[in-house]
Amino acid sequence: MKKSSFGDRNLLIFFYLIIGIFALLCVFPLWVAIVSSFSNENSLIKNGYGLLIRNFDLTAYKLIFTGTNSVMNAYVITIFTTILGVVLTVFLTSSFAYPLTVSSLKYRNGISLFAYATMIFSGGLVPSYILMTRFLHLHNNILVLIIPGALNAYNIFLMKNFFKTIPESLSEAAKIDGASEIYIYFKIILPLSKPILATIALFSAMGYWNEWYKVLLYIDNSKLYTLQFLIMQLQQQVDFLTSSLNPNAVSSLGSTVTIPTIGIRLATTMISIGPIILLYPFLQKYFIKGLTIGGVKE
Amino acid sequence: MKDLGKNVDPSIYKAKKNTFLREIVKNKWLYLLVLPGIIYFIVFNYLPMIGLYIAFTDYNPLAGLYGLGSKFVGLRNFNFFFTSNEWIHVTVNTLYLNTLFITTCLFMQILLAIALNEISGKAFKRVSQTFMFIPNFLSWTVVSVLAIALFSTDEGLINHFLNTFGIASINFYQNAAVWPPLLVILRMWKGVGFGTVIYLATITGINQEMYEAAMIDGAGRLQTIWYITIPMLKKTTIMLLILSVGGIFNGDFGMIYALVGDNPLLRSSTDVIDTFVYRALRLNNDIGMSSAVGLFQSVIGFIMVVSSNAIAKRMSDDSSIF
Amino acid sequence: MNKNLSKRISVIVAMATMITTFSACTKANTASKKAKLPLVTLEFLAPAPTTSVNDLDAILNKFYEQTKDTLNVKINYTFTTFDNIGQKASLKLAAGEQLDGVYTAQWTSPNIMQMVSKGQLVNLDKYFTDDKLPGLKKNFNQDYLKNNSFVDTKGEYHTYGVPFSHSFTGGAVVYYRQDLADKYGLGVIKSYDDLLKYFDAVKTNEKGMIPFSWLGSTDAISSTLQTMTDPVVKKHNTVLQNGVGIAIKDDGSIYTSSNAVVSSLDPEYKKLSPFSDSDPLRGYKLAREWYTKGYLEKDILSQKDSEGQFVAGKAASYSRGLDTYTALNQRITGSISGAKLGYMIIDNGERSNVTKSMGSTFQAWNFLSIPTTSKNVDRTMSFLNWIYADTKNHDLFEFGIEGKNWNAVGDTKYKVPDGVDTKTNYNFPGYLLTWNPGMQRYSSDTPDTVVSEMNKLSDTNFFYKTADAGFSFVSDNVKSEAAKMNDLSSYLRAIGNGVIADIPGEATKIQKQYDQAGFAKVKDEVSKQFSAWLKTNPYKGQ
Repeated sequence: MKKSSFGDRNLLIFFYLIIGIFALLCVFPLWVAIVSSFSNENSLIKNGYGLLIRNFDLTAYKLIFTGTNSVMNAYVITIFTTILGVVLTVFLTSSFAYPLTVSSLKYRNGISLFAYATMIFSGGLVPSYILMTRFLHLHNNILVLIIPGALNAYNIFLMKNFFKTIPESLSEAAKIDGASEIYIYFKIILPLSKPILATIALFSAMGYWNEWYKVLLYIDNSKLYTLQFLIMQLQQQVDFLTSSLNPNAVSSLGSTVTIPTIGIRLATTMISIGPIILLYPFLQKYFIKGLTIGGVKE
Repeated sequence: MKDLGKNVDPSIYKAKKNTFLREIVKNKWLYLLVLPGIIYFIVFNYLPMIGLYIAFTDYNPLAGLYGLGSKFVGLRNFNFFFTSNEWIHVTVNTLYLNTLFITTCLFMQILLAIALNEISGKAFKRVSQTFMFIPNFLSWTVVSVLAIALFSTDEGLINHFLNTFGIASINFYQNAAVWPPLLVILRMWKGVGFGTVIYLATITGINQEMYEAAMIDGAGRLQTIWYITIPMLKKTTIMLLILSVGGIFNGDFGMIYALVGDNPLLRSSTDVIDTFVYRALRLNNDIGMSSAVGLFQSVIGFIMVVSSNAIAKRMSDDSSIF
Repeated sequence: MNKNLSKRISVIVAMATMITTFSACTKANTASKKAKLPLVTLEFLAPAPTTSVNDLDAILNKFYEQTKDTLNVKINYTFTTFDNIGQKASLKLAAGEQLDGVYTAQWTSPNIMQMVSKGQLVNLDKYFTDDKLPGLKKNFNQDYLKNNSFVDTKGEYHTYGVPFSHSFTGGAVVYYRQDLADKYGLGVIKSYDDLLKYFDAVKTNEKGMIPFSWLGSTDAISSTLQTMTDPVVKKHNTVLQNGVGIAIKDDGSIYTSSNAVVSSLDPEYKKLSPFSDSDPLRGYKLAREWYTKGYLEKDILSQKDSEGQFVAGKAASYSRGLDTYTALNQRITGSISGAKLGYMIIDNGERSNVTKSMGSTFQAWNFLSIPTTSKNVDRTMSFLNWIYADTKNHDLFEFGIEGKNWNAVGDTKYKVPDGVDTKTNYNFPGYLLTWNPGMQRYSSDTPDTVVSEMNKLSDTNFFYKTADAGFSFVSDNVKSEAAKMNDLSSYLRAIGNGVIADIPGEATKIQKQYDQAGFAKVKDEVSKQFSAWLKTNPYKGQ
């Protein structure tokens, strides 16, 4: 075995350093945030942030978990919508993206443009609201958290780009053997696309998990609240009241609106991060080198 | 078929219709795969596009059915933006900042993806990848709180650090010039983890045999990266670039508003189209006026995408996205 | 036999007739009793600090129990966030959903004036002069309503929302740490100079503590400093409308200032104003003084939570309304051991107890409006009448079930029963339905000084009525200029918070931008509308 050259080893060290430093820079604020979410709010303001918990305090978490809204129920709703949403997304995205890579498909560029235009142009909130509530009757319906948003042009292009890297000779060989397009898609292309399917699954899982705005608009039934909504609406209140409200208005709302701010924000983040961080390691194995090889005969 | 003496031979129509149907029938399974997506887009994206009309009206939700009877005012909703002193300034800021973001993030993402691919050590890779993801979960409001802890004049970490070396404190929240680099760094820190995943997915899709062949030929690590990995990333890079160009006139409102807020001293370098519109319409809530500027951003973005797509196509037929 | 039979038949027929007529009568009676109103559910949309109100169902059930034979309405509240209330209302209206009562205010987006000018709200005038609705008639007198009217598309002023308020101003004070003041031997802080002494003592003795924390990210401290130190004047002939300073001359005509930064920078205006002797830039110079002396923190423009700083002990004082005294006292004594809460009233005239030194438009900042699409306007107003017809009804909604959620302490105070956790207790926001100057209850642990001050601030006789009370400006003709001006106003916060050294230079610079944005056009429009309004609401020399 050839000994790795001096240059090679240096490069490798350089890579390890870059990754290591960047990863540390990324996790350092998270550590500070975790520690601070368990610290007493007043001591945070007075003494600043630190790397160790000072004055252990669960107030922020208690505030989020008390009240008449069931947090457990919100977890169930969130998990349910995320799983269904991810399945729908991966299915819709891949079945839309694959045909766009088949060079014999005449209208593929037009369809691509058709999809892309949706990324740029939007009719705004009012027509969407009217569509969802009046015509699709999705008000207070859990489907409103699953179906809209399942397909977006960005994911389609990512998938399309990946499919393109699969040599067309594979599908051609299969066609000569008499396989139909559907067979090629399901039995050849998809199995080779695990990395991109995992990527899209991850991106969309993040999106579904963090969804709260649709709940704010379309859901009034507290049994359908998602986790993020419970958390974000508390944070939105705080943000709004401390940012843009006329002092007359603030005083007119009286003393009803005094809430710990930093603690809530941080505890919020902790609760919403947890499950996704647990999910990611499971998807990781699809990125590790060597898994995709198998079907390539070239 | 006999010429009817008019401009067009009717048989052409029949032929055109035939080719359309023939194409559908020939690739019927593929079009069937595409169909659910097309229906989805029509329902959820194209139908609501009727709302683009709102940009030209004095919108009143009670005027006519669903507000469709609102008074048409032509281009008046665009007035407040284009007659202001600021519009050129904020547009330039938007473009400038977005360009910086796109290029620096791109560079970093490719670098990290290549690095991750090259290193072994499964545990190290797993852990560091998970860590790199994390900033994405911290919302900008959380980051702004931590940013104050870093940049505060009297007690910020950075000024503490500078002071111990005898350097005078920097008044971050009153100094406009430092913010473009700050924003770039923060944006990189937050967004790079995600983009790296995309490039990494592409790299893992590269045929291993090419590397093996190259190594047998005596190529070193750097050479394999330069001659194999990077060219294979070309298509993905170009595609992502074209996609981002569409949003180049859309300022990152979430980030800038959370970090900088309404600070008047920092406006000159950080104010973008979206923050300007937000501030101008905050007390006014005129849906027509805000959608007018949004429409302007969309149209320009669209033009830019179509042009860059055309340029990419000219360079190599494969790189364009449509 | 025949005679007997016919006799029996006639008796039977007589009986039958009697019975039928009798039952017909009673049927008619019960029929008229049974003609009660059909059951209707009224839909209300409101902002609240939490997604739901504790125990609201219990209270609504009690309400329905008490009124099912009279009003026969059920109430359904949909709560949303403060920043979304305007948008959600607009969306519901656009989609044609049932909406019978919506919260509106001057700060929602769209605000109540904009909704009125688009014809979206019902004119409620007649419900307050109806003898069949005595509750409304008694508790909302004509003067109060007139001051809370808004102008519609025809140029007429009507009541477009039921106003809810307690005091006419929150009573801005500087909250400070009495325990620290005692430590420095300063006693109770009663004047501006005392306050400065307090700040100096804090600076010397407490390292790292901010003497005064101010929400620089949203407000400018300069106007507060002016209010603190302005001489008390007798004449009040100036008002500010939409950023334009208006001075009313003795002959009733007006002069509008051409300066958008400080109205008195326009010499003509300065001559007409009651402060013709002071430096127009005084407020900004005071702010600069406080900043350079270190009373304000360096990063004041980013400060978003001065109350949190005060409660944590990082700041020695901050400013808020006196109505938050009880809640704040609870917080600070809970978080800092030995802390004592003190307050100094900001307004010079109020502090010196001079009546008619403070002005008010007597306008509430919370309204319940009824969209024109509602099919239940009468039923909704009857519901409101019921609330105000009897204090027991009012207190049910404001405080909850007596004995369970609260206990009355006399007529003007209340107490939460022992053992009830305030976090899960009934917390219906009063600004949605029940705040009224004549029906106030203070928490029983509010000190008497605070109660009497708040009572003063709820008394219409304590204030002078500002010359523009009841006027609302319609910005439709100058929409884009007004939008540009909203954007420019953020620049005023830099000089307003003392971070700029060259104040006159900066003021000139900002004025130039206002001019370029079309300030003159807005000025003329304000002038036009206000002059027209003055003709029917002349300035009375207050």
